[in-house]
Amino acid sequence: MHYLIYAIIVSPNLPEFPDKWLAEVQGINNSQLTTVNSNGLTAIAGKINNKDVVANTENVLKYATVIDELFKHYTVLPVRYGTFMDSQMAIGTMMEKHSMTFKQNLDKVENKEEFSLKVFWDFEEESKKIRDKMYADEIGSNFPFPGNSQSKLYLLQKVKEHRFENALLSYVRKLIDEICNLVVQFKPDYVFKKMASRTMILDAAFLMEKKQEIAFAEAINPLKKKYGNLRFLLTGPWPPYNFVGFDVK
Amino acid sequence: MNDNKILLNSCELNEFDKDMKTVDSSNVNRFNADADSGLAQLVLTLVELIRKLVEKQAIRRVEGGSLSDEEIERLGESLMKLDIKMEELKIIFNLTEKDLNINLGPLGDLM
Repeated sequence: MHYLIYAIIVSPNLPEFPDKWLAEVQGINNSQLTTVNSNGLTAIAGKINNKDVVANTENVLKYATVIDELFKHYTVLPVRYGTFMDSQMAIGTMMEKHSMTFKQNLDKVENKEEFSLKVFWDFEEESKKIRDKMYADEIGSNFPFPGNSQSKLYLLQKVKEHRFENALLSYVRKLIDEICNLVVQFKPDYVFKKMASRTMILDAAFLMEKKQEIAFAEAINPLKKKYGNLRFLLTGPWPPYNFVGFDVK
Repeated sequence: MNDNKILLNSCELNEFDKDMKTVDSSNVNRFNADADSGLAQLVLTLVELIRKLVEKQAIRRVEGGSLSDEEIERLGESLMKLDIKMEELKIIFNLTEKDLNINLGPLGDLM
């Protein structure tokens, strides 16, 4: 039996916490949650068997639900799924060792929340448009070398693929610039992942002060009209999953 | 996903569900820890990574116009042979291109 750590928060001032909250929320496999306090911080953990720490949909959703429930009341440092320790004492020792890092991360995300913006497209259709434009621009001009030997044709194909990848990235970079201009008023921290898959051209996360979700959604909204060929999904507020960085050993 | 977390969507949610599945499937490839096939996968992954780096550098030089016609010919031939050899090795070890693009967790895919 081990303890799976869900999140770390600054120890609440109210003495009755977390009894009421812990009684209402359950962990993976309906495990009872417990707290470990150290240096003004509180870790939320739950008993678990090794074999239960499988990253399946049910477990991960349960894990996220615990963190989300906690996030409704406190500034939360989400701990990566699958982080478990042998005992409550081991968790306490670990927290003592890393308390400064945890506090710095908590300061960074205090009173802030994360929003996720995912942008999708029809890869086949859009890449064809980009290829067509690319090849039209190239006609009679900047093919890098003459000749039609097998090796040169092979290399030419590689050059074309390389140019296509650059054109894709250039398209996504333009979109990112536009998004940044639209949301600049919120002064967010952000993380952009370009071409997360063939269909998801952008996976972005924004961290900003709480209670701005409606204004933020309105700021993003013009993109829907401008880019009818893209599909936008804006979600939040989420705990700051993409804006904390620590390594627990 | 809870509906009240959705602030803006430009199409039906089931379309996103389809899109998200393509992302999930591209992110599940992890290094195979089985001793024999795992080692082959690891070695070929490294070779493929180096091959792609060489290829990118070669294309930069071609695009930069710094190579002679003969050098371009030789370069194309070398890259082509390397590509063919990699395909042969993948067949021998029963690996696909996706197997060689292992997922590095929070760092994303290798290539």
